[in-house]
Amino acid sequence: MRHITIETLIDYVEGLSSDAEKSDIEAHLVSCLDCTEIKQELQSLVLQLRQDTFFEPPVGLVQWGINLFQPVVRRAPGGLPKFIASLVFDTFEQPMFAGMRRVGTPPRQLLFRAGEIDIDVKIESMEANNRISLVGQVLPSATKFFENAPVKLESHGIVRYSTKTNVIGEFSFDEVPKDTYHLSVDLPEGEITLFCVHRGNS
Amino acid sequence: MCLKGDALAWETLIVRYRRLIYSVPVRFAFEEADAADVFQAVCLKLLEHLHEVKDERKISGWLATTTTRQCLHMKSLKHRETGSDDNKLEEAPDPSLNLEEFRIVIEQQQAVREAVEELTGRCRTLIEML
Repeated sequence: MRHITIETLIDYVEGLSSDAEKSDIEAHLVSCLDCTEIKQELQSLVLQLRQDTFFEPPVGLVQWGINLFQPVVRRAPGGLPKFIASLVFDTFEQPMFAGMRRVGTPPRQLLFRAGEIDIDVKIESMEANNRISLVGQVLPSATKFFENAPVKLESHGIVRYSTKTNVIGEFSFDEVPKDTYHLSVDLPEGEITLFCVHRGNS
Repeated sequence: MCLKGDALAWETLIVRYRRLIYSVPVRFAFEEADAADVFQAVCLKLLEHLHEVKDERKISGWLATTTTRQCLHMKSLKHRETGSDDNKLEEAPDPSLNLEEFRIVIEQQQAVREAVEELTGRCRTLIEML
């Protein structure tokens, strides 16, 4: 039994075979498991290649992903080190209690940790004017609070807003436009960066 | 290389896996805004967990699993918001597949993408014409 060539099978899968070729191929496929298997693989491959363009994310979204990465700046002689805080708690990730129904968008609470320092952040979304309010507190492991520490809110690589912590390490940004921000806190130990403190509908 | 602070390596990673990540919420038939949320959440998780990925060949599987979980999580949040009762939340978008089979499909498609990318100019153009 002569098997069907790959080229002939590709034409068949793509619907390019003539009626005569088509019936010959189909007659062969009924009795040949090897060719049937190759035909199925080709069908799956062609389908995957055709489908793939539907999975292309918007350019802006890919760029957002690329911009997420900010290389760690090496400590310059006499300069301060930079730390990236890791997210340890996020209410957005927590399920609501059984039976509870959500009314409006609840504030999102996040807790970041960098070494011995915790940073508590609460984001409240105001749907009416498409803005968010962000309040937080820098919590050291020792009893002394970080007072007067500069806090910056960056988006797209630019510092958009800045403030300073109060006597108990609290800071706030009121009614800033919705965007994806990086928050950084300058402390005597170094600069702590928190990735993405807000996303769209959170 | 990303862990050594190479921004270009991170860009390569995002560009290489962008369709894998985005394909999952699209297969779940999410709206564009929700698909974008999933994409962003997964990029963040990748950045946060990059230091845990010891073998680069496992990124594809890790991303397929993480993105599927993120989609299931978002689906359950949506259901809670609307108050609907659905006991099929933990299912893959294609009813003929279980979650493990769904993950394999996602990974296979990524393997095809990577194979096409390795082709030289004319062969690649021919494949992309399909």
